Amino acid sequence: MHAMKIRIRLVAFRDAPKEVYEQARNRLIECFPIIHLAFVEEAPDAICFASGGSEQLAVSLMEPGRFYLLLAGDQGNAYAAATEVKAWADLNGRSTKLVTIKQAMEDKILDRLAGVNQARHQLQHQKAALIGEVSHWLVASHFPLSLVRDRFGIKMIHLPWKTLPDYLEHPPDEEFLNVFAESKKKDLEKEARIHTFLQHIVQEYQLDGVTVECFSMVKDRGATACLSLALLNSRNILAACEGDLVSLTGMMVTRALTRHVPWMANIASINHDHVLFAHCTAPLNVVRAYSLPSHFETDKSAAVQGDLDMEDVTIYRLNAQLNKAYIAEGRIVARPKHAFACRTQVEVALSPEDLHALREHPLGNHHLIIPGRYGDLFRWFGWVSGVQAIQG
Amino acid sequence: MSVLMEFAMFPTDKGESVSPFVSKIIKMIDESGYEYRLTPMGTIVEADDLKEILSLVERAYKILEPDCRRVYSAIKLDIRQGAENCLEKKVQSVENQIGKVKK
Repeated sequence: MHAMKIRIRLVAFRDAPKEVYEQARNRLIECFPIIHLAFVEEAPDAICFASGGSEQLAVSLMEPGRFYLLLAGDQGNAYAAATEVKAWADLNGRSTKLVTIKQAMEDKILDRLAGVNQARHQLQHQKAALIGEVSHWLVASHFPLSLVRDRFGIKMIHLPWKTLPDYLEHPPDEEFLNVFAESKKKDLEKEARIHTFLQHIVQEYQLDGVTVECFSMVKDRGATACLSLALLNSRNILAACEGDLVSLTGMMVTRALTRHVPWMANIASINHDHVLFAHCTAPLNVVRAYSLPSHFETDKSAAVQGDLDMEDVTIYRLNAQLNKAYIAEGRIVARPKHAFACRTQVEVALSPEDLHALREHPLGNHHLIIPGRYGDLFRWFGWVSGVQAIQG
Repeated sequence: MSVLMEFAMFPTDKGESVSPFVSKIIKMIDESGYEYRLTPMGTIVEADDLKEILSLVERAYKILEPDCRRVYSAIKLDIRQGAENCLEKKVQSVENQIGKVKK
Protein backbone atom coordinates (compact mmCIF):
# COMPACT_ATOMS: atom_id res chain seq x y z
CA MET A 1 0.00 0.00 0.00
CA HIS A 2 2.68 2.50 0.99
CA ALA A 3 6.00 3.03 -0.74
CA MET A 4 8.03 1.80 2.22
CA LYS A 5 10.95 4.19 2.17
CA ILE A 6 12.83 5.49 5.19
CA ARG A 7 15.92 7.69 5.08
CA ILE A 8 18.35 6.51 7.76
CA ARG A 9 21.59 8.03 8.96
CA LEU A 10 23.93 5.76 10.91
CA VAL A 11 25.96 7.41 13.66
CA ALA A 12 28.85 6.01 15.72
CA PHE A 13 31.82 7.27 17.74
CA ARG A 14 34.44 9.49 16.06
CA ASP A 15 36.76 7.57 13.71
CA ALA A 16 34.73 4.38 14.19
CA PRO A 17 35.96 1.61 11.89
CA LYS A 18 33.89 0.76 8.84
CA GLU A 19 32.83 -2.52 10.46
CA VAL A 20 30.78 -0.71 13.15
CA TYR A 21 28.67 0.92 10.47
CA GLU A 22 28.49 -2.25 8.36
CA GLN A 23 27.25 -4.26 11.31
CA ALA A 24 24.48 -1.75 12.10
CA ARG A 25 23.53 -1.49 8.47
CA ASN A 26 23.27 -5.26 8.05
CA ARG A 27 21.20 -5.59 11.22
CA LEU A 28 18.71 -3.00 9.96
CA ILE A 29 18.40 -4.68 6.56
CA GLU A 30 17.88 -8.02 8.29
CA CYS A 31 15.27 -6.64 10.70
CA PHE A 32 13.29 -4.63 8.15
CA PRO A 33 13.37 -6.65 4.94
CA ILE A 34 10.28 -5.17 3.28
CA ILE A 35 11.11 -1.52 3.91
CA HIS A 36 13.28 0.40 1.49
CA LEU A 37 16.02 1.74 3.75
CA ALA A 38 17.91 4.57 2.12
CA PHE A 39 21.19 5.11 3.99
CA VAL A 40 21.83 8.83 3.69
CA GLU A 41 24.20 11.50 5.00
CA GLU A 42 21.68 14.36 5.27
CA ALA A 43 18.00 14.96 6.06
CA PRO A 44 17.26 11.57 7.63
CA ASP A 45 13.88 10.39 8.94
CA ALA A 46 15.64 8.17 11.46
CA ILE A 47 19.00 8.30 13.19
CA CYS A 48 20.37 4.87 14.04
CA PHE A 49 22.90 4.73 16.88
CA ALA A 50 25.51 2.10 16.12
CA SER A 51 27.52 2.85 19.27
CA GLY A 52 28.10 5.26 22.13
CA GLY A 53 30.12 8.41 21.53
CA SER A 54 27.81 9.35 18.66
CA GLU A 55 25.90 12.12 20.44
CA GLN A 56 27.58 15.18 18.88
CA LEU A 57 27.22 13.80 15.38
CA ALA A 58 23.55 12.98 16.00
CA VAL A 59 22.59 16.44 17.29
CA SER A 60 24.43 18.10 14.40
CA LEU A 61 21.98 16.37 12.04
CA MET A 62 18.80 17.51 13.77
CA GLU A 63 17.17 20.56 12.26
CA PRO A 64 14.45 22.54 14.05
CA GLY A 65 10.88 21.80 13.04
CA ARG A 66 11.53 18.23 11.91
CA PHE A 67 10.71 14.90 13.51
CA TYR A 68 13.42 12.25 14.01
CA LEU A 69 13.06 8.62 14.97
CA LEU A 70 15.97 7.68 17.21
CA LEU A 71 16.77 3.99 16.67
CA ALA A 72 19.13 2.37 19.10
CA GLY A 73 20.90 -0.95 18.95
CA ASP A 74 21.52 -2.83 22.18
CA GLN A 75 25.31 -2.95 22.09
CA GLY A 76 28.22 -0.63 22.76
CA ASN A 77 26.22 1.98 24.67
CA ALA A 78 24.15 2.80 21.62
CA TYR A 79 21.00 3.14 23.73
CA ALA A 80 22.83 5.30 26.26
CA ALA A 81 23.88 7.69 23.49
CA ALA A 82 20.38 7.79 22.07
CA THR A 83 18.99 8.62 25.52
CA GLU A 84 21.37 11.56 25.86
CA VAL A 85 20.36 12.80 22.41
CA LYS A 86 16.66 12.37 23.22
CA ALA A 87 17.16 14.59 26.29
CA TRP A 88 18.97 17.20 24.14
CA ALA A 89 16.12 17.07 21.63
CA ASP A 90 13.53 17.66 24.37
CA LEU A 91 15.54 20.61 25.69
CA ASN A 92 16.00 22.11 22.25
CA GLY A 93 12.51 21.71 20.82
CA ARG A 94 13.19 18.83 18.41
CA SER A 95 10.41 16.25 18.06
CA THR A 96 11.72 12.70 18.51
CA LYS A 97 10.76 9.16 19.48
CA LEU A 98 13.38 6.84 20.92
CA VAL A 99 12.94 3.11 20.33
CA THR A 100 15.20 0.08 20.19
CA ILE A 101 15.61 -1.72 16.91
CA LYS A 102 13.86 -4.73 18.46
CA GLN A 103 10.88 -2.61 19.54
CA ALA A 104 10.72 -0.95 16.13
CA MET A 105 10.60 -4.40 14.54
CA GLU A 106 7.97 -5.84 16.89
CA ASP A 107 5.69 -2.79 16.76
CA LYS A 108 6.19 -2.21 13.00
CA ILE A 109 7.30 1.32 13.76
CA LEU A 110 9.21 1.81 10.52
CA ASP A 111 6.13 0.70 8.58
CA ARG A 112 4.11 3.37 10.36
CA LEU A 113 6.72 6.04 9.77
CA ALA A 114 6.91 5.11 6.10
CA GLY A 115 3.11 5.27 5.86
CA VAL A 116 3.08 8.68 7.53
CA ASN A 117 5.82 9.97 5.22
CA GLN A 118 3.90 8.71 2.21
CA ALA A 119 0.72 10.42 3.45
CA ARG A 120 2.54 13.69 4.08
CA HIS A 121 4.06 13.54 0.61
CA GLN A 122 0.63 12.89 -0.89
CA LEU A 123 -0.93 15.83 0.96
CA GLN A 124 1.65 18.17 -0.53
CA HIS A 125 0.19 17.48 -3.97
CA GLN A 126 -3.44 17.93 -3.02
CA LYS A 127 -5.76 20.80 -3.69
CA ALA A 128 -9.10 21.63 -2.13
CA ALA A 129 -11.60 24.46 -2.14
CA LEU A 130 -13.97 26.30 0.14
CA ILE A 131 -17.12 26.91 -1.90
CA GLY A 132 -19.03 29.87 -0.48
CA GLU A 133 -18.13 30.86 3.07
CA VAL A 134 -17.48 29.06 6.34
CA SER A 135 -20.85 28.82 8.12
CA HIS A 136 -21.06 31.50 10.79
CA TRP A 137 -21.77 29.00 13.59
CA LEU A 138 -18.45 27.22 13.04
CA VAL A 139 -16.67 29.52 15.43
CA ALA A 140 -13.95 26.95 16.24
CA SER A 141 -13.46 25.55 12.75
CA HIS A 142 -12.17 28.52 10.80
CA PHE A 143 -8.59 29.39 9.83
CA PRO A 144 -6.76 31.44 7.21
CA LEU A 145 -6.38 29.23 4.14
CA SER A 146 -2.62 29.73 4.13
CA LEU A 147 -2.44 27.77 7.42
CA VAL A 148 -3.26 24.43 5.83
CA ARG A 149 -0.57 24.98 3.23
CA ASP A 150 1.96 25.91 5.88
CA ARG A 151 1.08 22.95 8.12
CA PHE A 152 0.47 20.14 5.62
CA GLY A 153 1.29 21.53 2.17
CA ILE A 154 -2.33 21.30 1.00
CA LYS A 155 -3.39 24.02 -1.41
CA MET A 156 -6.78 25.30 -0.31
CA ILE A 157 -8.49 28.00 -2.31
CA HIS A 158 -11.57 30.12 -1.73
CA LEU A 159 -14.32 30.20 -4.35
CA PRO A 160 -16.92 32.77 -3.24
CA TRP A 161 -20.45 32.25 -4.57
CA LYS A 162 -20.33 35.50 -6.55
CA THR A 163 -17.42 34.20 -8.64
CA LEU A 164 -19.22 30.97 -9.53
CA PRO A 165 -22.05 30.26 -11.94
CA ASP A 166 -25.56 29.71 -10.57
CA TYR A 167 -25.69 26.09 -9.43
CA LEU A 168 -29.32 25.61 -10.47
CA GLU A 169 -28.56 26.65 -14.03
CA HIS A 170 -26.59 23.45 -14.56
CA PRO A 171 -28.40 20.46 -16.09
CA PRO A 172 -29.40 17.63 -13.71
CA ASP A 173 -26.71 14.97 -13.47
CA GLU A 174 -27.93 11.72 -15.00
CA GLU A 175 -25.77 9.46 -12.87
CA PHE A 176 -27.04 11.19 -9.74
CA LEU A 177 -30.66 10.61 -10.78
CA ASN A 178 -29.92 6.95 -11.57
CA VAL A 179 -28.16 6.34 -8.25
CA PHE A 180 -31.05 7.78 -6.25
CA ALA A 181 -33.86 6.48 -8.52
CA GLU A 182 -34.49 3.51 -6.22
CA SER A 183 -35.05 5.75 -3.23
CA LYS A 184 -38.56 6.60 -4.53
CA LYS A 185 -37.94 10.23 -3.65
CA LYS A 186 -39.89 11.97 -6.37
CA ASP A 187 -38.32 15.27 -7.21
CA LEU A 188 -34.54 15.43 -6.97
CA GLU A 189 -33.99 17.66 -9.97
CA LYS A 190 -32.55 20.60 -8.03
CA GLU A 191 -30.28 18.31 -6.04
CA ALA A 192 -29.10 16.70 -9.30
CA ARG A 193 -28.28 20.17 -10.67
CA ILE A 194 -26.24 20.90 -7.57
CA HIS A 195 -24.33 17.68 -8.21
CA THR A 196 -23.51 18.73 -11.79
CA PHE A 197 -22.34 22.09 -10.47
CA LEU A 198 -20.10 20.59 -7.78
CA GLN A 199 -18.62 18.04 -10.19
CA HIS A 200 -17.94 20.85 -12.64
CA ILE A 201 -16.07 22.84 -9.97
CA VAL A 202 -14.08 19.78 -8.92
CA GLN A 203 -13.03 19.14 -12.53
CA GLU A 204 -12.37 22.74 -13.48
CA TYR A 205 -10.12 23.43 -10.49
CA GLN A 206 -8.74 19.86 -10.33
CA LEU A 207 -9.74 19.47 -6.72
CA ASP A 208 -9.21 16.54 -4.37
CA GLY A 209 -11.76 17.87 -1.92
CA VAL A 210 -14.36 20.56 -1.31
CA THR A 211 -16.20 22.03 1.63
CA VAL A 212 -19.49 23.63 0.74
CA GLU A 213 -21.48 26.35 2.48
CA CYS A 214 -24.57 24.21 2.06
CA PHE A 215 -27.16 25.77 4.38
CA SER A 216 -27.48 28.85 2.18
CA MET A 217 -28.53 26.52 -0.65
CA VAL A 218 -31.49 25.23 1.36
CA LYS A 219 -32.38 28.67 2.65
CA ASP A 220 -32.13 30.47 -0.69
CA ARG A 221 -33.17 27.79 -3.18
CA GLY A 222 -34.82 25.01 -1.18
CA ALA A 223 -32.34 22.29 -2.14
CA THR A 224 -29.66 20.57 -0.07
CA ALA A 225 -26.23 19.41 -1.13
CA CYS A 226 -26.45 16.40 1.24
CA LEU A 227 -26.96 13.84 -1.53
CA SER A 228 -24.32 15.31 -3.79
CA LEU A 229 -21.79 15.36 -0.96
CA ALA A 230 -22.65 11.72 -0.19
CA LEU A 231 -22.12 10.75 -3.81
CA LEU A 232 -18.90 12.75 -4.19
CA ASN A 233 -17.49 11.10 -1.06
CA SER A 234 -18.38 7.66 -2.32
CA ARG A 235 -16.61 8.54 -5.59
CA ASN A 236 -13.49 9.40 -3.55
CA ILE A 237 -13.87 13.20 -3.88
CA LEU A 238 -13.73 14.44 -0.31
CA ALA A 239 -16.74 16.61 0.40
CA ALA A 240 -17.40 18.34 3.72
CA CYS A 241 -20.50 20.24 4.83
CA GLU A 242 -21.11 23.79 6.06
CA GLY A 243 -17.85 25.18 4.69
CA ASP A 244 -16.02 23.47 7.55
CA LEU A 245 -12.31 23.88 6.83
CA VAL A 246 -11.11 21.83 9.79
CA SER A 247 -13.24 18.83 8.82
CA LEU A 248 -12.11 18.98 5.20
CA THR A 249 -8.48 19.11 6.32
CA GLY A 250 -9.05 16.17 8.65
CA MET A 251 -10.73 14.24 5.83
CA MET A 252 -7.70 14.82 3.61
CA VAL A 253 -5.32 13.68 6.32
CA THR A 254 -7.51 10.64 7.00
CA ARG A 255 -7.65 9.52 3.39
CA ALA A 256 -3.92 10.02 2.90
CA LEU A 257 -3.18 7.93 6.00
CA THR A 258 -5.83 5.21 5.85
CA ARG A 259 -7.25 5.31 2.29
CA HIS A 260 -10.73 5.63 3.85
CA VAL A 261 -13.14 8.47 3.21
CA PRO A 262 -14.45 9.28 6.69
CA TRP A 263 -17.97 10.13 7.76
CA MET A 264 -18.26 13.70 9.06
CA ALA A 265 -20.76 14.02 11.89
CA ASN A 266 -22.06 16.20 14.70
CA ILE A 267 -21.78 15.23 18.33
CA ALA A 268 -25.51 15.01 19.02
CA SER A 269 -25.12 13.92 22.65
CA ILE A 270 -22.73 12.25 25.09
CA ASN A 271 -23.81 9.99 27.92
CA HIS A 272 -21.87 7.92 30.48
CA ASP A 273 -20.41 5.39 28.04
CA HIS A 274 -21.10 6.45 24.48
CA VAL A 275 -21.46 9.32 22.03
CA LEU A 276 -24.29 9.81 19.59
CA PHE A 277 -22.94 11.02 16.25
CA ALA A 278 -25.36 12.26 13.62
CA HIS A 279 -25.37 14.06 10.28
CA CYS A 280 -27.56 14.44 7.24
CA THR A 281 -25.12 12.94 4.81
CA ALA A 282 -22.77 9.95 4.66
CA PRO A 283 -20.64 8.48 1.89
CA LEU A 284 -22.94 6.02 0.14
CA ASN A 285 -20.28 3.33 0.10
CA VAL A 286 -20.12 3.22 3.92
CA VAL A 287 -23.84 2.65 4.45
CA ARG A 288 -25.52 -0.74 4.10
CA ALA A 289 -28.91 0.70 3.24
CA TYR A 290 -30.32 4.17 3.17
CA SER A 291 -33.45 6.23 2.70
CA LEU A 292 -33.85 9.89 1.79
CA PRO A 293 -35.95 11.76 4.36
CA SER A 294 -35.97 15.56 4.49
CA HIS A 295 -32.99 17.51 5.82
CA PHE A 296 -33.18 17.60 9.64
CA GLU A 297 -32.83 21.29 10.53
CA THR A 298 -34.86 22.69 7.64
CA ASP A 299 -37.24 19.78 6.95
CA LYS A 300 -36.70 20.52 3.26
CA SER A 301 -35.21 18.73 0.26
CA ALA A 302 -33.44 15.42 0.98
CA ALA A 303 -30.84 13.96 3.33
CA VAL A 304 -29.20 10.56 3.71
CA GLN A 305 -30.44 8.34 6.52
CA GLY A 306 -28.18 5.31 6.38
CA ASP A 307 -27.05 2.32 8.41
CA LEU A 308 -23.33 2.82 8.77
CA ASP A 309 -21.47 -0.29 7.70
CA MET A 310 -18.74 -0.12 10.35
CA GLU A 311 -18.08 -1.85 13.66
CA ASP A 312 -14.73 -0.76 15.15
CA VAL A 313 -14.10 2.90 14.42
CA THR A 314 -11.56 5.66 14.91
CA ILE A 315 -12.74 9.17 15.80
CA TYR A 316 -10.54 12.04 14.58
CA ARG A 317 -10.75 15.80 14.83
CA LEU A 318 -8.18 18.59 14.40
CA ASN A 319 -8.32 21.98 16.09
CA ALA A 320 -8.47 25.26 14.19
CA GLN A 321 -4.72 25.85 14.61
CA LEU A 322 -4.11 22.39 13.11
CA ASN A 323 -1.67 21.61 15.91
CA LYS A 324 -3.89 19.46 18.15
CA ALA A 325 -6.04 16.44 17.46
CA TYR A 326 -8.64 14.34 19.20
CA ILE A 327 -7.96 10.67 18.49
CA ALA A 328 -10.06 7.85 19.92
CA GLU A 329 -10.91 4.28 19.04
CA GLY A 330 -14.33 2.84 19.77
CA ARG A 331 -17.06 0.51 18.70
CA ILE A 332 -20.47 1.18 17.19
CA VAL A 333 -23.09 -0.12 19.61
CA ALA A 334 -26.31 1.17 18.03
CA ARG A 335 -27.68 2.73 14.84
CA PRO A 336 -30.71 4.63 16.08
CA LYS A 337 -33.15 6.78 14.13
CA HIS A 338 -34.00 9.43 16.70
CA ALA A 339 -36.29 12.21 15.50
CA PHE A 340 -34.28 14.81 17.45
CA ALA A 341 -31.01 14.56 15.49
CA CYS A 342 -29.61 14.62 11.97
CA ARG A 343 -30.66 11.65 9.87
CA THR A 344 -27.73 9.19 9.84
CA GLN A 345 -26.93 8.26 13.43
CA VAL A 346 -24.60 5.94 15.35
CA GLU A 347 -23.79 5.43 18.99
CA VAL A 348 -20.09 4.83 19.57
CA ALA A 349 -18.82 3.35 22.84
CA LEU A 350 -15.59 5.04 23.96
CA SER A 351 -13.29 4.70 26.95
CA PRO A 352 -14.02 6.94 29.97
CA GLU A 353 -10.82 8.92 29.22
CA ASP A 354 -11.83 9.56 25.61
CA LEU A 355 -15.35 10.56 26.64
CA HIS A 356 -13.90 12.90 29.24
CA ALA A 357 -11.68 14.58 26.65
CA LEU A 358 -14.63 15.00 24.34
CA ARG A 359 -16.74 16.54 27.10
CA GLU A 360 -14.14 18.72 28.74
CA HIS A 361 -11.79 19.69 25.92
CA PRO A 362 -13.65 19.41 22.61
CA LEU A 363 -11.82 20.81 19.60
CA GLY A 364 -15.11 21.52 17.84
CA ASN A 365 -18.41 19.88 17.00
CA HIS A 366 -17.76 17.99 13.77
CA HIS A 367 -15.79 14.77 14.15
CA LEU A 368 -14.70 12.22 11.58
CA ILE A 369 -15.65 8.57 11.95
CA ILE A 370 -13.36 6.14 10.18
CA PRO A 371 -13.88 2.39 9.85
CA GLY A 372 -11.16 0.43 11.65
CA ARG A 373 -8.68 1.12 14.42
CA TYR A 374 -6.11 3.69 13.32
CA GLY A 375 -5.38 5.54 16.54
CA ASP A 376 -1.73 4.62 16.50
CA LEU A 377 -1.28 5.75 12.89
CA PHE A 378 -2.92 9.12 13.61
CA ARG A 379 -0.69 9.56 16.68
CA TRP A 380 2.40 8.88 14.54
CA PHE A 381 1.16 11.37 11.99
CA GLY A 382 0.84 13.86 14.83
CA TRP A 383 4.37 13.28 16.13
CA VAL A 384 5.87 13.69 12.69
CA SER A 385 3.66 16.65 11.73
CA GLY A 386 3.61 18.56 15.02
CA VAL A 387 -0.02 17.74 15.87
CA GLN A 388 -0.40 17.00 19.57
CA ALA A 389 -2.98 14.39 20.57
CA ILE A 390 -5.19 15.72 23.37
CA GLN A 391 -5.46 13.51 26.44
CA GLY A 392 -8.58 12.56 28.36
CA MET B 1 1.44 23.61 -14.11
CA SER B 2 2.58 26.81 -12.48
CA VAL B 3 1.16 30.17 -13.47
CA LEU B 4 3.01 33.02 -11.84
CA MET B 5 1.54 36.48 -12.17
CA GLU B 6 3.02 39.77 -11.10
CA PHE B 7 0.32 42.34 -11.09
CA ALA B 8 -0.51 45.81 -9.91
CA MET B 9 -3.99 47.29 -10.01
CA PHE B 10 -5.11 50.68 -8.79
CA PRO B 11 -7.53 53.51 -9.63
CA THR B 12 -6.26 56.51 -11.55
CA ASP B 13 -9.01 58.84 -10.38
CA LYS B 14 -8.42 58.72 -6.63
CA GLY B 15 -5.42 60.95 -6.07
CA GLU B 16 -1.78 60.40 -5.18
CA SER B 17 -2.18 57.66 -2.56
CA VAL B 18 -4.17 54.57 -3.51
CA SER B 19 -3.20 52.21 -0.69
CA PRO B 20 -6.78 51.99 0.68
CA PHE B 21 -7.86 50.52 -2.64
CA VAL B 22 -4.80 48.30 -3.06
CA SER B 23 -5.32 47.00 0.47
CA LYS B 24 -8.80 45.75 -0.38
CA ILE B 25 -7.35 43.76 -3.27
CA ILE B 26 -4.53 42.34 -1.16
CA LYS B 27 -7.05 41.30 1.49
CA MET B 28 -8.97 39.36 -1.16
CA ILE B 29 -5.77 37.68 -2.38
CA ASP B 30 -4.74 36.87 1.18
CA GLU B 31 -8.09 35.19 1.81
CA SER B 32 -8.12 33.42 -1.56
CA GLY B 33 -5.71 30.68 -0.44
CA TYR B 34 -3.28 31.27 -3.30
CA GLU B 35 0.38 31.66 -2.45
CA TYR B 36 1.52 35.25 -2.95
CA ARG B 37 4.17 37.85 -2.17
CA LEU B 38 3.43 41.53 -1.76
CA THR B 39 6.16 43.86 -3.02
CA PRO B 40 6.24 47.68 -3.23
CA MET B 41 5.71 47.56 -6.99
CA GLY B 42 3.17 44.78 -7.32
CA THR B 43 1.93 41.45 -6.02
CA ILE B 44 3.14 38.07 -7.23
CA VAL B 45 0.58 35.27 -7.11
CA GLU B 46 0.89 31.61 -8.11
CA ALA B 47 -1.89 29.28 -9.26
CA ASP B 48 -2.12 25.96 -11.13
CA ASP B 49 -4.03 27.30 -14.07
CA LEU B 50 -4.30 30.42 -16.20
CA LYS B 51 -8.07 30.54 -15.72
CA GLU B 52 -7.65 30.68 -11.94
CA ILE B 53 -5.18 33.54 -12.20
CA LEU B 54 -7.39 35.53 -14.56
CA SER B 55 -10.32 34.91 -12.25
CA LEU B 56 -8.32 36.56 -9.46
CA VAL B 57 -7.69 39.58 -11.69
CA GLU B 58 -11.41 39.84 -12.34
CA ARG B 59 -12.17 39.52 -8.62
CA ALA B 60 -9.67 42.32 -7.98
CA TYR B 61 -11.32 44.57 -10.54
CA LYS B 62 -14.78 43.83 -9.11
CA ILE B 63 -13.57 45.18 -5.77
CA LEU B 64 -12.62 48.54 -7.33
CA GLU B 65 -15.45 48.75 -9.85
CA PRO B 66 -18.14 50.25 -7.58
CA ASP B 67 -15.96 53.21 -6.52
CA CYS B 68 -13.57 53.81 -9.40
CA ARG B 69 -14.29 55.18 -12.82
CA ARG B 70 -10.87 54.29 -14.18
CA VAL B 71 -8.57 51.40 -13.17
CA TYR B 72 -5.02 50.79 -14.34
CA SER B 73 -3.44 47.37 -14.21
CA ALA B 74 -0.06 45.96 -15.24
CA ILE B 75 0.22 42.19 -15.48
CA LYS B 76 3.15 39.87 -16.22
CA LEU B 77 2.78 36.12 -16.51
CA ASP B 78 5.16 33.17 -16.37
CA ILE B 79 3.30 30.02 -17.40
CA ARG B 80 5.33 26.87 -16.98
CA GLN B 81 4.05 23.36 -17.64
CA GLY B 82 5.19 20.52 -15.40
CA ALA B 83 6.32 22.90 -12.67
CA GLU B 84 4.97 23.92 -9.30
CA ASN B 85 5.93 26.18 -6.41
CA CYS B 86 7.83 28.52 -8.74
CA LEU B 87 7.26 31.39 -6.32
CA GLU B 88 9.87 29.75 -4.10
CA LYS B 89 11.89 27.85 -6.66
CA LYS B 90 12.81 30.77 -8.93
CA VAL B 91 14.38 32.59 -6.00
CA GLN B 92 16.02 29.38 -4.75
CA SER B 93 17.65 28.88 -8.15
CA VAL B 94 19.39 32.23 -7.73
CA GLU B 95 20.25 31.55 -4.09
CA ASN B 96 21.78 28.23 -5.09
CA GLN B 97 24.27 30.19 -7.17
CA ILE B 98 25.05 33.18 -4.98
CA GLY B 99 23.74 32.30 -1.50
CA LYS B 100 20.91 33.88 0.47
CA VAL B 101 19.47 37.10 -0.88
CA LYS B 102 17.20 39.75 0.65
CA LYS B 103 13.50 39.01 0.15
